Amino acid sequence: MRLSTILFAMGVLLLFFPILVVVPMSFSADRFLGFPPRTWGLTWYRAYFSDPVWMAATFRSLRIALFASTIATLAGLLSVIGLGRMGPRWRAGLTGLFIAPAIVPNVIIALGVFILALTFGATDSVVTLTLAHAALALPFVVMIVGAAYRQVDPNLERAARVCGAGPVRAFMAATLPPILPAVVAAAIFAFFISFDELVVALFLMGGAETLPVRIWNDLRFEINPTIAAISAFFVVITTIAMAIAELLRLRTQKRLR
Amino acid sequence: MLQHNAPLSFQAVTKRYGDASALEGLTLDVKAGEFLTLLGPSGSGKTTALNILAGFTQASEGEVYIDDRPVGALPPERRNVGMVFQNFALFPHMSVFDNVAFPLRMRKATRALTREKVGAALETVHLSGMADRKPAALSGGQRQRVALARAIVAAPPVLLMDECLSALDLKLREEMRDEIRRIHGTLGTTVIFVTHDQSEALSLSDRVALLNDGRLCQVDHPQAIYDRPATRFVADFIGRTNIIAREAFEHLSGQPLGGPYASIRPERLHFTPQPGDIRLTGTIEDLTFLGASIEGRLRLSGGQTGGQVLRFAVPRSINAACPDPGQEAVMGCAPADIVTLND
Ligand SMILES: Nc1ncnc2c1ncn2[C@@H]1O[C@H](COP(=O)(O)OP(=O)(O)O)[C@@H](O)[C@H]1O
Ligand SMILES: [Mg+2]
Repeated sequence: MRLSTILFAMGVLLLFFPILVVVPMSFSADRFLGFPPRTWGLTWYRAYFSDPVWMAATFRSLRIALFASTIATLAGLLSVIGLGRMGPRWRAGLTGLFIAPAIVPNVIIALGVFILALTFGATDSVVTLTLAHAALALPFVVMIVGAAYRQVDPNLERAARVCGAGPVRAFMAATLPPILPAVVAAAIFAFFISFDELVVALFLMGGAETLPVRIWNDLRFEINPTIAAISAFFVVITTIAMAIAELLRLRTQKRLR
Repeated sequence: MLQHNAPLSFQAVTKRYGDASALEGLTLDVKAGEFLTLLGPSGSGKTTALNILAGFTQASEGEVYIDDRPVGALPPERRNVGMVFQNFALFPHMSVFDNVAFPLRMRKATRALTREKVGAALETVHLSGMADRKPAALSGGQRQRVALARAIVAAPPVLLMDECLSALDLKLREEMRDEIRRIHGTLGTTVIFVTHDQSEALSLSDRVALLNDGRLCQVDHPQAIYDRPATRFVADFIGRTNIIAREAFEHLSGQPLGGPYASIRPERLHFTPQPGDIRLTGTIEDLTFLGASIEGRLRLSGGQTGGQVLRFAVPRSINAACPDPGQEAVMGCAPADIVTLND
């Protein structure tokens, strides 16, 4: 075997190691988290799905992620259209500005949002957290949708215009269909950026916990295998959704070629 | 399906990008039903002129009139023009039928009328069996036809085409050329056709407008612009020609010239100088046998003109032999075939 193959295999193993440990542990029937489990069962999945606190946190996270993803996707799409219509110099500068939040550490953003929320008395609010998550996801939407948008032939929209379509109709008829898979992919990414997000939520959500906050708080007191069940469950869901998003992104590229 | 047509006119249209102007004071009247070609090298402002006409670009100065109405303030969708793009710009996710039906749907035509008109347009471009295909499943020539059908289906009085044959290979290009001429003949629409290919311009157009560097050089019928180019640029760009500077020409012919250059087309030179012809003496170089004709070069000898090379193209005649390369020869040219050029 060549060295590069070995390194690649080690890299993959390293990435998947937590999953390889967590999934077996989630099917444990032991009282405490341990690897490998001594007894097997679905006890902890049952514990998760029947606990109203866990369920409330899960549904809160799903709701926030849904709204944050919708906002980020719409705002990102509009940003991309706007950037596309600017002169090259403005476009370069503003694109940088749109992408910047993706490089800033989440703690810094969390602190910023927290201070801002304090001044407006909007801490401890699902709305504030949703908006903050939308802002965190926006750069990714701008990147994914922007990449697809730049590949669309600008003559398509012009063709629609001379055919008699107004600016909005022309966009809907000519530009949106080819980039739609990328838009959906961006929405899925945005959803999981919000769904996974802990730091900003820790700052903003004292009373009402999101799922990551619940997990965090739970871990601080005792380590019980519910966490493993939840993790395994969401690893599967996230993997499927991300795979769909990636397929959509690839399909956009094929469609645009 | 004879369509109505409209005259259009550019009045002192200028388009500036920063300090550079893409179009400089273009004034041009196009008659209703005319096939006018905007010809010029790349970057001469052809697309800019067309985009201003279609409404994609605002003119910095001047105004465009369609059917004697100023259209500068109208968005593209209200100008009622049809357009064929260089890369066809077909909607990739729509079938051929839906592509062609699009202008009719935007005009809120009924289903029955839409079906009828799309059918007629597809028939006009000989694509009747392809209505259900997606553009990706068509050849280049077929896509071109779909783009053409989409441009004419709503019977716009003005049809714009921007380098719409350049993406096709040579054989297809000639085929589509005939097709476009035929369609113009049946529909009678006013056509503005943009190309950088002079043979396309000469073979298709009622009139050719030659642009260079954003300026209009000359507008005329194909034969007139070929026979009577006004400037050195026009003579050079359209067909091939020999350009002779004034001093050299006056020295050769012993006649005064009314401009800085004289142009002699290669096919106007011949080996049988008549009395009254201008006589050119030199050495034959580089003969090429082309079946119906022979092409070659004559290196002028002596005096001020020494060294200048003239291209010639003479019809091949079995009786009159052409001199061999390296031989001295005298070629003649009728004074009427000499065109005086401005700068
Ligand atoms: N959006 C633009 N910004 C700056 N310069 C432009 C723009 N569009 C065209 N130009 C310039 O205007 C000139 C004419 O361009 P164009 O009309 O596209 O020429 P053509 O179609 O004859 O090749 C070119 O020099 C081109 O660089
Ligand atoms: Mg052009």
